Amino acid sequence: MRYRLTKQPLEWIDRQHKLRFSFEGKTFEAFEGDVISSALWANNVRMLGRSFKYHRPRGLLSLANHDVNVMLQSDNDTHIRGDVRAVQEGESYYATNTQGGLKQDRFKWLGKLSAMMPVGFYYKAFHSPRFLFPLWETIIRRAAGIGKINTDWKRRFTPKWYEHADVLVVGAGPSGIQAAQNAAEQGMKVILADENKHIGGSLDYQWVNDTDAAVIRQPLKQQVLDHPLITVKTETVVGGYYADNWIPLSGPEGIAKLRVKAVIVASGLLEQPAVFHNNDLPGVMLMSAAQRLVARYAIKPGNKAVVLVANEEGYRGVMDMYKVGIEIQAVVDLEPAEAHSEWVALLNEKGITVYSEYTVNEACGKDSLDAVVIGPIDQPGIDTTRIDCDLLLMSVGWSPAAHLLYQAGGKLGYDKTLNQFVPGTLPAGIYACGRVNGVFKLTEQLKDGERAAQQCAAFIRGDNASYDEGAFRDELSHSSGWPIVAHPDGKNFVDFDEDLQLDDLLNAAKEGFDNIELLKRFSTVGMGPSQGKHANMNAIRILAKTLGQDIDQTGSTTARPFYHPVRLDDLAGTRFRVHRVSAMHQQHIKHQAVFMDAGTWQRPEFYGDKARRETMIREEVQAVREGLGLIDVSTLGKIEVMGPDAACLLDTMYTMRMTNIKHGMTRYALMVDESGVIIDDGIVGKISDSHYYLTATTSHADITYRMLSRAIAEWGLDVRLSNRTGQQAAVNLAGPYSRELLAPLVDIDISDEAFPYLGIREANVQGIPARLMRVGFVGELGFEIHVPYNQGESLWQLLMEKGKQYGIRPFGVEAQRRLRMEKGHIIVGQDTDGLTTPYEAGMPWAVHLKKTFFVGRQTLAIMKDNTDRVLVGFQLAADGASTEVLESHLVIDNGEIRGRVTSVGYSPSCQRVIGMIMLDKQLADIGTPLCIRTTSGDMVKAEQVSMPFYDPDGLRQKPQLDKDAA
Amino acid sequence: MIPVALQVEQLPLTLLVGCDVPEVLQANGYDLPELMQVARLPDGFLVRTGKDEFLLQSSKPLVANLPSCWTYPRVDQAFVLQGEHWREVMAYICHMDMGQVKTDDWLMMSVAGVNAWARVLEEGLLLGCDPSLGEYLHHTLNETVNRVNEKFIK
Repeated sequence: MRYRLTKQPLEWIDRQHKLRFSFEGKTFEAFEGDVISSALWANNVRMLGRSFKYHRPRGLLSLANHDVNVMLQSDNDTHIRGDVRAVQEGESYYATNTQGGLKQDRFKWLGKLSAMMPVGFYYKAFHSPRFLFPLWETIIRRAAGIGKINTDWKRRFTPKWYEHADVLVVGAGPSGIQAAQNAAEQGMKVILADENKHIGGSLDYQWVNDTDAAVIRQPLKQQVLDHPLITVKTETVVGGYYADNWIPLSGPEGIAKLRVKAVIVASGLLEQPAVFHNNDLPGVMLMSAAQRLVARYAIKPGNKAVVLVANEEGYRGVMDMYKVGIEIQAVVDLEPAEAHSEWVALLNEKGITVYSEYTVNEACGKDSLDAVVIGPIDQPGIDTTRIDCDLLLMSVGWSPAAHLLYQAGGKLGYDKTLNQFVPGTLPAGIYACGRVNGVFKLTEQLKDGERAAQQCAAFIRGDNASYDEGAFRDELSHSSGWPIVAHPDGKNFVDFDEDLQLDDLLNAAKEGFDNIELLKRFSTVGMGPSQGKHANMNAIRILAKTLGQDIDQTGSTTARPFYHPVRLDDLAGTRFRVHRVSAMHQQHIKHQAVFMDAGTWQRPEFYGDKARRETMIREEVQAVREGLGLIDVSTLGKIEVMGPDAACLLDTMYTMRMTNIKHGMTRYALMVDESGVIIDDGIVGKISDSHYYLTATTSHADITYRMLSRAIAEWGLDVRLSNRTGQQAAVNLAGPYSRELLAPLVDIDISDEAFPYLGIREANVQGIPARLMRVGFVGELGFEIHVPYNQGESLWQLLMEKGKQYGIRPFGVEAQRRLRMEKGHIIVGQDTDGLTTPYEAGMPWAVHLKKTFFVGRQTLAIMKDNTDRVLVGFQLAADGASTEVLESHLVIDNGEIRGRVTSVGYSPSCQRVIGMIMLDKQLADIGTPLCIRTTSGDMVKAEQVSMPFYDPDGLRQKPQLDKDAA
Repeated sequence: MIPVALQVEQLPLTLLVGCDVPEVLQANGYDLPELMQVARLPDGFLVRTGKDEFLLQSSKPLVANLPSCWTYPRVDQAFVLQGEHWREVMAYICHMDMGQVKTDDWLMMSVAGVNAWARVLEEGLLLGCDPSLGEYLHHTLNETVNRVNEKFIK
């Protein structure tokens, strides 16, 4: 670690703990607390990566958590940012964007072809000949990839969590710390978040040698660390701003979702590079990066430095570098001497030459910096001087880290004094302070932090006090208005992420992309991993100058969340996979149920050997038809409807008349929306004049409840609802022997005379309070039994035990589907789609247009004689290869799609495959053959038949048959 | 002492709905709580969840003989979170600010993606949900409690 300095007063490294790691196969030492970039620089490794497009050698640029030059991968991870990730003992790191290693990269010559790859190259090339595009695509993808994903990596589950506070302060620099402290002193609960490992911000690198800063530093920091109302979160990026102060904090443990009453943004500034020939050469870096190297990691950035400045921060940096023993070869100031006369005098005293109104024309060197060529700013290429050096530091300007302000809806304007964007109009509850607000002097930053806290507290209290948000702004420029130098050989990079050069942007503007948003999209400036943090300001300046307009007219682009890259596993969080189980779930497991998801519910699809699915299902169907079956229907929606207007509510929400249902009877209930489309069905049972009980489909139960609730509120009805869906277990006992089994177990008479088809009764089943309904979805004599959830398992066990003598068998959802299909009963959402009306579904009998009003009535009245489709039954040949036809297969006629299979399956009762098709009405005709195209593309012939397929007169559910069965 | 403990409870409840419910409850000797507030009872609690909707946990038989009063038994799955860090557990699964609630507050909220109610206890939270969601919520709470306990025991 030959570039490691002696101990620095505020360093972040722990010299007691040495670490070993490797980079590109070579082993290095580091101290605990080093990031990868700092550790490599300490070991005199200058080339840390290669650029995205031209594979140019790259070194440190900003060391500010968005340095795209150093993107790495390890054996276990990719997209590692070298300036963020702490060195881990024993880890091996590799640069990502290389083919064959960093030094021997096979694409390192690409830059020589840059003249052939101008802006818009990808849009303009490769389109023809068309057949070659896949080849180009493969080559480009291989060349352009950043890192490789190892899909064998162990999954990492990162929870997300919620937090709440009064105020979020973003950035723990001097103004942020002051703002947090003042807000807390006014009783606010404050979260102070900073992306760095330690608080302090610029106070601890930019002001590290300042005597005033030395006095305030420790007390300022300690007061926020000690304050009971302040939570300090370091290594935490405030990722973005969402509506109503909803803010993700991305930290080492994952993402916290924070809700606050107000936000103070003290996020500081992003130092901007100068644009000149070879400005990306390793050894060329921002002054603030060098200051961080020294102050945080005790690393000497280089031995011989030239410094390009345009502000006093640059001069202060020169003194910092001088102090740690760097030979300052020259200071090149873009501004006139009088702009920084005191600093110039100070440097001259130390024998350092200052070239005022000069610029750096080019950096020289192969893989790292050897020298720079400087010249007068207004005479490019004339009177140039070459200065040997291994370090070129740039301090030419700033751009506000204002992403949160933009996302919150704030407007920023260009301050021509500061040569910087500053906040203009900010939404209520959003405040800015410190350097992001254009405040540069340390004492003023503290005052500005205090002002923001007071303003914030007043807002939270509801005061409308007025504050001058620009009161502490500086009156001197801290940024050059044009830190850009043209060069005949180009390679003067504006965007380091995307290898965009000055000419690229000039050409884009000339091609007509004369709006900053268009320029961004065409050139991709600001669209790389650092999202324009180093590039956007210069791009705006270039476009403004090209168009001859000022910066405000040119505008700026939108900074979208997240501010820094975030791990996908952090974004994903811990999955909440909601699942509901019925009271009989353990019994289903006992009977070897194979489960399927039905919305959030887990339901048995069938019981028994998974490998013999079809056989099991057919046996279940047969059991119901010939003996006795039991199915868990707990997932059905179950809603109690009570009150004097209950019947009126149901009459208006369902297509059939509900006001004339007799006591103790049920009626089929079909619900449509305003456009007449079927959305739900079930039954409605009348318990008393003011009390009804309804069922809804599994998937629509909650929606039906909400729709009823809304109707009650809208129409001012005197009705109460209770959604009992989860509180009630339910089974359907179906089959010829169902009455024989049930009769001795209940305390009521369930004969046909006492309990007719479609009846509803309250009863006790061996002491279990139950509601019984004689309904027949599956087309056999059957009883639906609803009981409290905690009695459901007992009921199931009772029926299974007592039903043994009748050969009772549990049946699952698939057998139920086959059974109801034989009866021609629809399943809403399967046999209907988002456009199906009752007329199309063959259910005109369920629409009572004589009612003066129900939801959808008006539409249905119009559509009654205007349907284009109809649901028809079909069957395949008995000997046919039947199972090829699946749901959603299409009916093709003369090459046109004319219908869609909605349900299909083997019917044990019909001894063949049957199903339903939503068919163009013109083709609907009993006996007419149809052609169904299967997955393989083969056409299968089907015959249209009338429905129901089974027991068309419904005798199986009627009294006479009951008696016969008995 | 572990930072958070989770207990599972079967909580027999009665839902009372209808405009006559307040009168019925008063006739049975109950003081009516304010909306979304809990009244403590010797063997349970009474909470007002709507203008004329209440949830009662009590073993005392209820005489409800007025027409507009419907009562339904509820068998909600209930959980008790207790310990110093119960709020931390809730922060992982619920967006509500548990730092703002006080004892005997009644909350209706989304917990880990499902509807739930909660009663704030003196040192914890009584949480209830539909019984069909009980297994899921138990599993989720258990995982979260373990995560929090690991964090604080470390």
